[in-house]
Amino acid sequence: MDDQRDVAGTISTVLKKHGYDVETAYDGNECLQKVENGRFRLIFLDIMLPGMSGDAIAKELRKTYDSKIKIVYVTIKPKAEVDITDADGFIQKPFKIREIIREAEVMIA
Amino acid sequence: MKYLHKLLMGFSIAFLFVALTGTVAMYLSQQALKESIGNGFIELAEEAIDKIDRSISKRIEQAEAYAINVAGDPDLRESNTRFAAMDDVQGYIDEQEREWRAAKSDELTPFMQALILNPLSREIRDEFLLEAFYREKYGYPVFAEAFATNAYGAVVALSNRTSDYRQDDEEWWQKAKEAGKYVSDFNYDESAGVYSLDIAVRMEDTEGNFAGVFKAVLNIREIVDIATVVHLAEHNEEMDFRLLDREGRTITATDDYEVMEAFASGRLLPRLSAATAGFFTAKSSDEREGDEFISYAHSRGSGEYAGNGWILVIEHEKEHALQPIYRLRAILVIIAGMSVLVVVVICLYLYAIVSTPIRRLRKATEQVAKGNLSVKMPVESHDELGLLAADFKKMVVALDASRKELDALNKGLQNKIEEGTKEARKTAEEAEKAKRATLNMMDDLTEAMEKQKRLEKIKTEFLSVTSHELRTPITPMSSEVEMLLGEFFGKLTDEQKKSLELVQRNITHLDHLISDILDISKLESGNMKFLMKKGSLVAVLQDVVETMKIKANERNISLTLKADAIPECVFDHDRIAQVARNLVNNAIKFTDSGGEITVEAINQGDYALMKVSDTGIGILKEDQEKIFRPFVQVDSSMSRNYEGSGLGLAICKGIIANHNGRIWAESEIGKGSVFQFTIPYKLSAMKGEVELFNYSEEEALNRFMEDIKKKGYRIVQGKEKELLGGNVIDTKGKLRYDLSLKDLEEKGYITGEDNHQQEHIGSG
Repeated sequence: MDDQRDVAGTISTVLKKHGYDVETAYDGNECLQKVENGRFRLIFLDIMLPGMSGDAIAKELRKTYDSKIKIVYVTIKPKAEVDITDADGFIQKPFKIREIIREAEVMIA
Repeated sequence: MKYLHKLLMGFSIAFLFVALTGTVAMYLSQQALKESIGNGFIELAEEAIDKIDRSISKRIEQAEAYAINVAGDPDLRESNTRFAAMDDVQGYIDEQEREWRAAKSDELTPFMQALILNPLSREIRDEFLLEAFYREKYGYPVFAEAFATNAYGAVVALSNRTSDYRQDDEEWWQKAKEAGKYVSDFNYDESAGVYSLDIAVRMEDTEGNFAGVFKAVLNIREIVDIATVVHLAEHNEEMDFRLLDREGRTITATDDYEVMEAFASGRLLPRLSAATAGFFTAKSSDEREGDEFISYAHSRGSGEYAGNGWILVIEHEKEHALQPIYRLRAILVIIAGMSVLVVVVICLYLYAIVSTPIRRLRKATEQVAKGNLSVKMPVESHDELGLLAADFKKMVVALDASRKELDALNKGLQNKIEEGTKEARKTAEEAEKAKRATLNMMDDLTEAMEKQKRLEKIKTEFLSVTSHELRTPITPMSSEVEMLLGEFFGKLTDEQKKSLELVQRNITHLDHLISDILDISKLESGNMKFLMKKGSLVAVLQDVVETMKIKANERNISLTLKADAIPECVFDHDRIAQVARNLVNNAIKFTDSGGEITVEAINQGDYALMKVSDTGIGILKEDQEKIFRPFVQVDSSMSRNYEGSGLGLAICKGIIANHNGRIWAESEIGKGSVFQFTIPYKLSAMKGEVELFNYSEEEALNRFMEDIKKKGYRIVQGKEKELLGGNVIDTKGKLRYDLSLKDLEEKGYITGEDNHQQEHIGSG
């Protein structure tokens, strides 16, 4: 989930190449709606978003699904500036493709 | 209260006392006066009654003297002898008495005639009554009649016809026989036809035997005359005289029927009998008239005459009698009224005397209070007020003098001040000019500074925003290039690969540039966040050396690490690694092939000293400080030869400063450089943003435990302390710990449930 369609697209491409079922969303509401309708195990979540922020989405997801759905923040913010209480992983932009793949592998074991 | 009121009140009180005393005095004097007036009247009464008594006494003496003559008369002796020789004296007397009474009042029996015409009778008439003489002297007979009886009570001689022959049955006869003489109360003698008084005298013969009784009837008119004479002598028409007998019957009175009636009714009699003399006031029975002042005196007798209980009463209209008292009272009232008037006048006068100067003085005081010291003192008397005024005047004069002095002094001072002021004004004007200039300058400066600040802020914001914005598109770019190079989308030719690698290299460079700009802008604005955790500095250096070794080896440079045993301490691992990497990278950049780079970690007791030494080109001494400033490279040509943003060392300095450490360079041109930085062990010594253990250890541990339990883990017994010592750090009241649950589990601190993945369980 990223408001920047290119970023969301890249991550989606990488993961699809590695055989994962991927869906993209470009804002918080779309994301929550898709999560509700699908059976997701991992979400790569941008933090700086227009409207609902990534933190808020994560909080919402945690409330509903607890830790059934893993959340990995993918953000331009340095780790020191991020509250990752509700996240399971953290990737700093710009990222290496292998970081995405590793997180996916670790989270969906 | 006004002075006048006070004065009036004082005088009133004094006057009241005087009035009270006056009233008492008046009452007492009235009583005394009344007493004296009463006594005067008593004297008058006593004089009158004494005159009457003396008159009666004189008549008794006359009668007695004549009785002695009669006692020696041969006719009486012959009669007594004859009667003594009689067998039945009483029978003879009764027989003659019957005959006497049988006769008519104007008829003279021969027996009567013989008696009236006997020599003794004639003698009595001629010598005793002396009718002609008394008539001539007084105009009326003093004795109305006189007669004599023998020792048996039978009439022997008589001046006029008597009603009885036998006289021994009469009271006067018996009393005179026993006592020697008798004076009756007044009575109306029918035979004499007048109010009269009987005088009876016992007669004795030469042997001293009872020879008979001589009786003379006194005409009361003499007494009435005496009273009248006394009355007239006094010329007091308001006064009435009244002579009462012992029964209260009026013998004679000059006037006033009603009062007589009162006496007759006995209303006043008890009061008259109280003493031998006195006075009192009594209500008149006539309501139209006022009270009567009554004085009286009892008969006291005269010579041998003991008096007969008569009372002489003087009646007087009270008002008239006590006139002196009323006069006195009137005088006193007038005097009192005049005194009041005088007192009020005196009060007013005194008030005027006292208050006027006081008022003037007060006016003057007010003037002085207002500051008018040239005020005139109007009081010139020689009393206390005058003295006060004089003193006041002195004071005012002194005050005036001192004020003038003060004024003069002030004037002098003012002149000086004015002079001074003029000078000062000049100086002030100059100063003002200078100040204005300075202020303008300062304003300019402030403006400039503010402008600078604003610009700085704008710059920082711009940098922070733009670098984010700039970095954002880099993310998909680098990923896509990476995917291409990873041949995700199919095999690449060598040329394509070379081209993409160039793109990738430049993307990385661009990213580093942006990243550096972002870092420096954050450091400059104080917005850089640090992730402080306890750990091994040596381990961090090992990592850096490990990763940089590849690059060094590529350029045939040896890179070695020499590390002391450094105790674990708190620092931002990534940022310190960044510093170390930067220093090593620089060393590699400026060291020729075959050179040596040494990384050292030295334990200095309180802090760790890190050294990165190279055998590079070295840095000029004057440049050794400059290089830590942003956007500075020693030689601008360097940036082309040695790629870099020129921000690296500035960022390093910022990071180290935020750890309370120091970073500096030592160098010798051509021989190489040594970059060194320190990290203090005790973070409590750190200033600025990062503070540790705001919570107590125990509290921090508790929070840590709670957090772990929330995640579904259980703390293994007895490991809390160890856990805390190793891993829990608190920053600004926020708990920070950065161990994965997996680590904790492996080390035996916690026993977990089903989650075995590497997991960050929390971070501030």
